[in-house]
Amino acid sequence: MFTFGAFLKTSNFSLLESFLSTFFAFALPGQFVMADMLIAGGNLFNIFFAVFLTNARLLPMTINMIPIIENKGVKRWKYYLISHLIAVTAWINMLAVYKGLKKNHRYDFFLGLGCCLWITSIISTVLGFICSEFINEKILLGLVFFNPMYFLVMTLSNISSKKLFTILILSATLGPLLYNINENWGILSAGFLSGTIGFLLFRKKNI
Amino acid sequence: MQENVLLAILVSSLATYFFRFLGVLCSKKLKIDSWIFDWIRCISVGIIVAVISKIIFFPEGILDKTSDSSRYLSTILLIIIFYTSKKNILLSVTLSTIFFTIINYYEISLF
Repeated sequence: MFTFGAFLKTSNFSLLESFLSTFFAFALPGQFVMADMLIAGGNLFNIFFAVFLTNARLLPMTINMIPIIENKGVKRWKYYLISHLIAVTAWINMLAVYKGLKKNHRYDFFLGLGCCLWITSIISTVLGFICSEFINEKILLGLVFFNPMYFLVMTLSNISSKKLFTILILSATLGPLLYNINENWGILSAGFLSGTIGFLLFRKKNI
Repeated sequence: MQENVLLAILVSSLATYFFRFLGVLCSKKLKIDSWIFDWIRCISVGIIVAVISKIIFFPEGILDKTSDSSRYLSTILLIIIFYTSKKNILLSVTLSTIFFTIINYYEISLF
């Protein structure tokens, strides 16, 4: 999140906007997509749909998490609030430890874990933004470039099947090509097309 | 631009929270092994990779000042280190970023 703060600074975000981005839209891949589409001149519709599709993975994660942390003593509306804290890091860590926790302690545990990660992310974004003002521009280049490299390697680490590998190759090729044809919808179309083609090609094979 | 940024944050927040809200609402009704979630995951990977490749080939903002060769070679280096270091994420990102920074810091011409 620290380098993402630097990324936002060079994408013409203000300090307040960087803070608000992590405060409200807490899910790094979606924030990254939003910032890049904004700087590329994307309109609000394609930013919305790109973030919408990028973060759609939060739906199965939330469906998976709620029964784990469910506690009869907690009112239903509180789950709608705590769901804001469901992001990849909190989710993975909770899945790793929840079996060792008593059922009625899990909600509170996840609240602490999620809040800790959320607040740390906000502080890191703001710190990255502030520090980037004092960093030599050429060093700043490295901090900014860290972001796409990080996302690339995280994606590579999740490539566990021929299907995802096909999507990666298709999308890496179609992304720049379609962006050249249409700057507003190119990236979104490339992601949607490559994901759908990969899904359909390997749907029955399950490899 | 500033107004657009705030609106972009607003629509991104709504797009992000929508799925969390829906997840709580449907946590007892939907099964996570449904084909639709697999499709969602595929599109999600597709969009992230499309954004990354666009940044590498057609960067905007500060990265626009960097040489094409430094971005291409750093990306290749990242992939090589990742697969030769037993998928060490920290090592591959750090080394490729350091390589990229040095190339651009000293304005080394690679091609």
